[in-house]
Amino acid sequence: MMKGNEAIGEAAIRAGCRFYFGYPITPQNELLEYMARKLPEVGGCFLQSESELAGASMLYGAAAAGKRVMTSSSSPGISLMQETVSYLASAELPAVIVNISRGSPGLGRITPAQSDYNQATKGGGHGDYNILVFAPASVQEMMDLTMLAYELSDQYRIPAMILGDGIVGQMMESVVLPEPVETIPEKSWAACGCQGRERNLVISAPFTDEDLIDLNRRLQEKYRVIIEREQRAEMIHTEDAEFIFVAFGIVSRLAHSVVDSLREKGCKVGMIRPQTLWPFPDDAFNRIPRAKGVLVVEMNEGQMLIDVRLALNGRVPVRHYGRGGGWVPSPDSIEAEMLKLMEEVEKNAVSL
Amino acid sequence: MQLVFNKPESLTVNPFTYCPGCSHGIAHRLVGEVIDEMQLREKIVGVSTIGCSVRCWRNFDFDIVQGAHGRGMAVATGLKRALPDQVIFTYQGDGDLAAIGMGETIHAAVRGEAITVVFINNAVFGATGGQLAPTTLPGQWTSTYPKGRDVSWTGSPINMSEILAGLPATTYIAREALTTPKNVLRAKKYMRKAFEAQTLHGGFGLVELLGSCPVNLKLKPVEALNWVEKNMIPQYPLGEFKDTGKEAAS
Amino acid sequence: MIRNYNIAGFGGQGILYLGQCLAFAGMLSGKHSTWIPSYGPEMRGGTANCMVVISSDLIRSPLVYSSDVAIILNQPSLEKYGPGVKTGGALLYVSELACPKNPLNGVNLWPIPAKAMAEELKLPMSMNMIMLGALLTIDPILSVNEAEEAIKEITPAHRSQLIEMNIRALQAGREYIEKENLAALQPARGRGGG
Repeated sequence: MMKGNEAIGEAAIRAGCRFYFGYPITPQNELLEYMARKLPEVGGCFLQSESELAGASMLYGAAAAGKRVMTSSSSPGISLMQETVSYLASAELPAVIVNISRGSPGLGRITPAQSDYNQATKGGGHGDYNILVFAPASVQEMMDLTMLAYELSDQYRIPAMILGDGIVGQMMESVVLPEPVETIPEKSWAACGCQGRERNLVISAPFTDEDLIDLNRRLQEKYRVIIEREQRAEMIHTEDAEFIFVAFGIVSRLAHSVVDSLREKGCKVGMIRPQTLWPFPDDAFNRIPRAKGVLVVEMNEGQMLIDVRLALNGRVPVRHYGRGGGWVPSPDSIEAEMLKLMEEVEKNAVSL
Repeated sequence: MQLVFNKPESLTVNPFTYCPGCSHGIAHRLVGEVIDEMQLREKIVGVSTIGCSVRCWRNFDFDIVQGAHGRGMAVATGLKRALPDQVIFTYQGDGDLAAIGMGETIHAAVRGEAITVVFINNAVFGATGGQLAPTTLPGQWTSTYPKGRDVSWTGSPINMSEILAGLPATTYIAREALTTPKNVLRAKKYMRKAFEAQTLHGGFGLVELLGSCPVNLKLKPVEALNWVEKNMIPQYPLGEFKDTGKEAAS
Repeated sequence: MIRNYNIAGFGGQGILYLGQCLAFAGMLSGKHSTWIPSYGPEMRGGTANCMVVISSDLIRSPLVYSSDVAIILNQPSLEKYGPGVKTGGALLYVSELACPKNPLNGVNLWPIPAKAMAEELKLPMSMNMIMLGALLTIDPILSVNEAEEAIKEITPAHRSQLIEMNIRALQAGREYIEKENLAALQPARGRGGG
């Protein structure tokens, strides 16, 4: 058994990450401390930075050198790191950033929340860019999606984020440890001294106006490929489901228990559980042929809701159940919301 | 025909795009010469930061990583930790190093990162058009304080070399002015020692170069150099502030 | 088979460790298990609690809303978590440190004099393990042996001297229930609860 936060650290090391830079903030300190203990054992480097600004830039430097790197924080610290995330996107550097998010805005409280959905999935910093965003719902997925994050981040030269919450970060659960990665892909673009080759530049400030427009075009082309190939979602009883939950992270587990209990009562309910939040699994919403109503449950005021609405494009009525600020819905209340939606639809009293 | 003057191998053939009379050209050439002479071109990674010199990779012919504004030494820290056998240096202006990047600067020096810093101090924000820098002199005209720097309102200029020399983990700190051929030659010597602080002693080396920004000072190039001599040097005295490598050797 | 546990008491009583032993033992027995500590402001407030779920199937919610079993080591926790025990569930509490003030209908009450027992063992910090030994004797979905294995597994190397002490306390909890002839949850239905 492992804590979710530690599982991320273990997976990172197994994925070949040897460089961690970060600044303490609850509720993700177990990850920082895990890396502080474990990285020296495998010849890696742990460095506690003077701020999230500096930590993210250290990450940028080590990523530019071609290494697998990690930093982690929680919501207010992630806001500070957005400066570098935009640079990483522009310089097309792979890096894995972990956000064990908390109740916000402002300092907020360390209670679990999903209020950073928009920040994570719509770029977060300045500019037309996206990063991969993974939403683990279990400790096992903390490991598996971290391994995947490194693989895809390298493959596409794009930053990746693990977006968790305090519950998944703090909980312990049994895990099957993934096999360590044997070989990390060669990075011919890395800035590590130009012996025997032309020099490499890792830059985010092209020299001409046209160069920057070209960079943007190239990024968008890459994003299109990723959207096409890398959407991931778990489909639960969606083949015959008439009413469908959409939930990610810890909320999906609460909603899953409601799917079980409503199925026992004979209700045809199911769930789409996005595992990637960017790219958002739009395609999953084309595979719910019998859907009459969709209930988005999230620990925020309606952020994923917008992506669900876009994916459905008016085909099915969508309702939202959620609050920000560190509120966790109980399975009973989730069930009640679904029953309400079902009743509205049956009475034909529902609008889009 | 005898070749009497050539560009260093560590510089590209691209012409400098700096303003007439700007000191960056001299500083760039010194960097190129020192890297050539120390035979570091193939094992160096430079960090460019935000300001006039953000695109110094146009002129430096080796691996470059461009960081965010002020974060040069944090980027260099990541690079050095990842590439302990390579030579890492940053090229930073006064706004970058001493205003927005003060935290990163101080903490890299506190850790004694084995990096080299080439610090260009011209007492003004150049790239953005002549605004107040932390190093702006009392009474000096800037576009944000057109009546001159009033120290009761904006504080006093900050002497970075003296501050960094006071930190126990730094190895080599020196300041020179790029005003006269004699000073330029001494600047090159100091710059080499700032690199040697890293390559010979595994420590933090910094050379601060007082330069001129004629456009923003609204002076002709020669007048601007005279202004540096007359006004900047009294505030920013020249010389070596720290050389623990020498102390270790003697 | 599924069990939802709330475990609560003062900080320093080994509440989180108790929960971890239980969850680990669940894993060692081949079941699924989850453990969530209280974290947040409460961490600093002197109280500690954790939620454990053990199930033969994949666990959906690791959060415990109503519990099959509550293990309580102080009065404030009893007041907070006692009412959340399901009908037919069990409430184990340290009888010297907590006492139900209001009737808890349909809940099996198990007062355990763990404080006196710990003092008798000369292991004053071992109330948590006594309660765990008692729990696994009352509701033997896991064996005490599995709990012993869990203790060995999760106790850090630099505190290995605690393993033997913890196992002794665990056994004391088991013996107390056996001696009092209070074995098994089912026959005890109707006890207590007012």
